[in-house]
Amino acid sequence: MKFGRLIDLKRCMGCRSCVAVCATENYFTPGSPWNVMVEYEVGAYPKVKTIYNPMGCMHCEKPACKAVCDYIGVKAIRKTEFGPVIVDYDKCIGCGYCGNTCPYGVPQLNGKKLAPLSPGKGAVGSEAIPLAARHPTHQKKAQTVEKCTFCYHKLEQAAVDGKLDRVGKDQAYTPSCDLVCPVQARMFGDIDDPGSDIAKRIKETGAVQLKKEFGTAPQVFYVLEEGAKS
Amino acid sequence: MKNAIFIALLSALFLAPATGALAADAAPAVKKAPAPGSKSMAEKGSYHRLHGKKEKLDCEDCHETEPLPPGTLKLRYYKPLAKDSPGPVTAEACHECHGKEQKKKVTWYAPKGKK
Ligand code: HEC
Ligand code: HEC
Repeated sequence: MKFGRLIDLKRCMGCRSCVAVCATENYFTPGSPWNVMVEYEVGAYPKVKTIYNPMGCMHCEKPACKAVCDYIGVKAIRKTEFGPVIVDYDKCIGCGYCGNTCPYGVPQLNGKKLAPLSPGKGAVGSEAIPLAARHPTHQKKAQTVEKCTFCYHKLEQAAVDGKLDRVGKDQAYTPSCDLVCPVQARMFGDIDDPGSDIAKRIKETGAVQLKKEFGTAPQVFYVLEEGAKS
Repeated sequence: MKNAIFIALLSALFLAPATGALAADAAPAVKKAPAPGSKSMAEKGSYHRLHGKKEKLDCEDCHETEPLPPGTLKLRYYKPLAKDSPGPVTAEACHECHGKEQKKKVTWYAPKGKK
């Protein structure tokens, strides 16, 4: 079992619901987003169109971020059983090597102090939840790297509940970004099982990974709009 | 097109304070790597020392001389640059060296040119 994601750029209309829900689900730290919308235009007048390309962690099979982190002996990044690549905030030394080595520039280094959501207004919204009461992936730290976890807290819960077969189907066990997409441009599930909905759709649509040439074997697949970069 | 201009403007705004050295008419680019211990990326400055002094790389081998274009598939491609940075960096600059076996185990990617 290996979880992966499919993002259909032909369907995506750039509404950023996935970005917004990630911010709430994952205790958004300003300046260190986990999910962003890359937007650009292709074609020539009069046939111009905008490509909307949501980007989060690709949860690579062979993560370059982990390779550097291991190389310098810090070993703060691990590849978990079901696919997610997870940063251990307690081990991270904040060197930033991972973020610069990642072909997609995914890991985000927090500043010396965690930026407040609403400067001058004290703790707002999820900030008010004490760190210790949160899932370890939400116990944010200054000068530490953070990034998308494939909503690891939900996957872990699925494993605990013995409901791994419901991942990608039930709200409690599916990454929030994939749940909220109003045009069904996102899908999450077991990419190892050729019979799963996501595996079938990847095959049908000919979805590809971005920047394949780096050979990190990402677990996020994109259905490319004509002219879109890969 | 409007959108592209908007994004270009936006990135220009974001980058402007940090990229003075990028403007064509600006003073010559700062040619001094961060001092050891002074910057986060370079833990004790070893990163720039290794690549600059030992591997004899120029700033431009890694740092772009212009802001990254819209559509750069890099999360937060518009991230403001650190103080004195000669320009944005993408992993494409690292691929050549870190895609092949070296004396030390510094291989993070598949060899360049292979798919
Ligand atoms: C091996 C590639 C490489 C070379 C060569 C290189 N840099 Fe960098 N530099 C980086 C990376 C990667 C970063 C972090 C990028 C970022 O955060 O935008 C960086 C960041 C910086 C920063 C910001 C401070 C910091 O440590 O984050 C400064 C200043 C800088 N470089 C100056 C230079 C100068 C001057 C030269 C030439 C003497 C140079 N660099 C050569 C890769 C390189
Ligand atoms: C000219 C080839 C070359 C290029 C280009 C290059 N590197 Fe390196 N890099 C090396 C070599 C060789 C080493 C090992 C140096 C040593 O330990 O003596 C190294 C070491 C490293 C290390 C380990 C540093 C440490 O503290 O031990 C990191 C991280 C790294 N490179 C990242 C990058 C990134 C990110 C880029 C692109 C922005 C890049 N490199 C570009 C050759 C290169």
